[in-house]
Amino acid sequence: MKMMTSSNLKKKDFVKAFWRTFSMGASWEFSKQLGVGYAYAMTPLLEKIFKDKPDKLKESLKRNTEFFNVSNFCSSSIMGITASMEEKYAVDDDFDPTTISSIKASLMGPLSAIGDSLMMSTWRIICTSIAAAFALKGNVLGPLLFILAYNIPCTLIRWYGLKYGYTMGVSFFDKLSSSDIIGKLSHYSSILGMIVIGAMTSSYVVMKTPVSFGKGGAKLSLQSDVFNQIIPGLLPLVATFIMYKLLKKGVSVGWIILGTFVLGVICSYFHLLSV
Amino acid sequence: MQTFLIFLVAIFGYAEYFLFGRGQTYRPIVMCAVTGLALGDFKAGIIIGAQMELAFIGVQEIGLSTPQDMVSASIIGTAIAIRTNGSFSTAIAFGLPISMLVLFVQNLVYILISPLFVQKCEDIAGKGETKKFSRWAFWGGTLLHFGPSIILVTVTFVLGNYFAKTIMSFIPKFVQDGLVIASGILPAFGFAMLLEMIMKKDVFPFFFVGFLMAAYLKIPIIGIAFFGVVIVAIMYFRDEQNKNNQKEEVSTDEDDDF
Repeated sequence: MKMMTSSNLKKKDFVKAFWRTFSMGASWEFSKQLGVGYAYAMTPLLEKIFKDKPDKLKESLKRNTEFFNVSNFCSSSIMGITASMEEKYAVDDDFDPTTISSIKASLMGPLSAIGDSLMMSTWRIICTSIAAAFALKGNVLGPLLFILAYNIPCTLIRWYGLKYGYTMGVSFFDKLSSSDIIGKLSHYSSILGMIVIGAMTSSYVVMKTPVSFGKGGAKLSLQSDVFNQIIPGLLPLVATFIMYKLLKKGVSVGWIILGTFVLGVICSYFHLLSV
Repeated sequence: MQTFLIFLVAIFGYAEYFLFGRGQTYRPIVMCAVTGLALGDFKAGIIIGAQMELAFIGVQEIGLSTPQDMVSASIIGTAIAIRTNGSFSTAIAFGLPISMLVLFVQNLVYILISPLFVQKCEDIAGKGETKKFSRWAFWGGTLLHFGPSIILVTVTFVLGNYFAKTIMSFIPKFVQDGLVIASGILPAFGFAMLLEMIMKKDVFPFFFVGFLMAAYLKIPIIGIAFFGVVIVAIMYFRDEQNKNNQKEEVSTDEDDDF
């Protein structure tokens, strides 16, 4: 890693801070969220930056426990950026440290867009859809693929975000947001996400009805003669959209799950749905 | 021995928060498999994990909300299912109530004790004691926030071993079938939650691209995901081309003015 000539920071300090970002969530709390965790992860860097300036170290460590929240693996990018600012603060007595706080706050939102919607909501689902196909057959590749596919990109972002955040400072983020990479990525990945959710609705929701009409040769089975011939997977499709509507109306998760169980038992008793 | 293994599994599960940097190892697809491995039925664990994952696929923690404690639901559910030779329906019927209890205890700690803990950490930070601060932030946070849940999971595992079989024998056949039916429908709930998160009008038709490919053509999910990548790539290049064409049009218009 290329260092500023005046910097005390060495690669091993960044490595330490990198590992600490994995443990940021230990001290999560409602009002400050990842605040204490952020200061914890920054500590190896701050110790070096303010080596001979104990007063500024106290101020900085305390200040860094302020409210902070961003998807865990994205936090290192902000740490890199603020580390370069803390270094300026260490040598320049006129530097106002509240700028660091406001930069931190302004970066949380956009970075959460990458972290939460792109990785957690979309990429995780694509990983799950593929992993579940293996896991449903009892294949150990399922969970393994899931962990690797999700964590490899996250870990790369975690390390290179720290590195480039530090070497490029705020300009790193300007570059990222001016090219609208994030917006495009979210758009295209939500399309991919929708395709996969549609496929999973058809493949993974299990609903079969044993209901049939007539007798003997004229027997008409609702499932195999009607649904499977016209729209296979009609029942799962309807169920998914009913649940979607309920969620939209604000019905709570607990009630929907309980309702599903009650419905299952009723349909089992009257032989409307079968195992 | 099994109790100790489950204790380790619980630590592994909650390490999601204090050691694995939200690497999603706390999700049922991982946790149920690990529980199965610990109890000697790896395959059953993996399968139950896949089914529970699909039911919970829409549950994710963003910021404040902790909607479900999936670690305890996975461990206790899988353990009881394996013990009673049951399946995913048993796992979710037992796992869900336990996880609500664990979530309740977690929230009590977060509301009553965590603010004091954070206050203490800040005081230490203000004195510039970096080593002490690090110890408090990591060990203090870990033990306070996850210790109770880890112990609770281990205790309910021991109790579950005693009572699960008895409880199961009291449940009539049609109710047990009903649970299986419900557990087949539950993934629909998971996907509905996902739709609620990412649904926008302009991407909605793509839901049916995936649905119809799976329903009529019976293409496996992996194949559909690859088709999806191709579709997105085509769209991307078309969008870029349109943009370039627009630019060219603008420039030719300018030429006409001369």
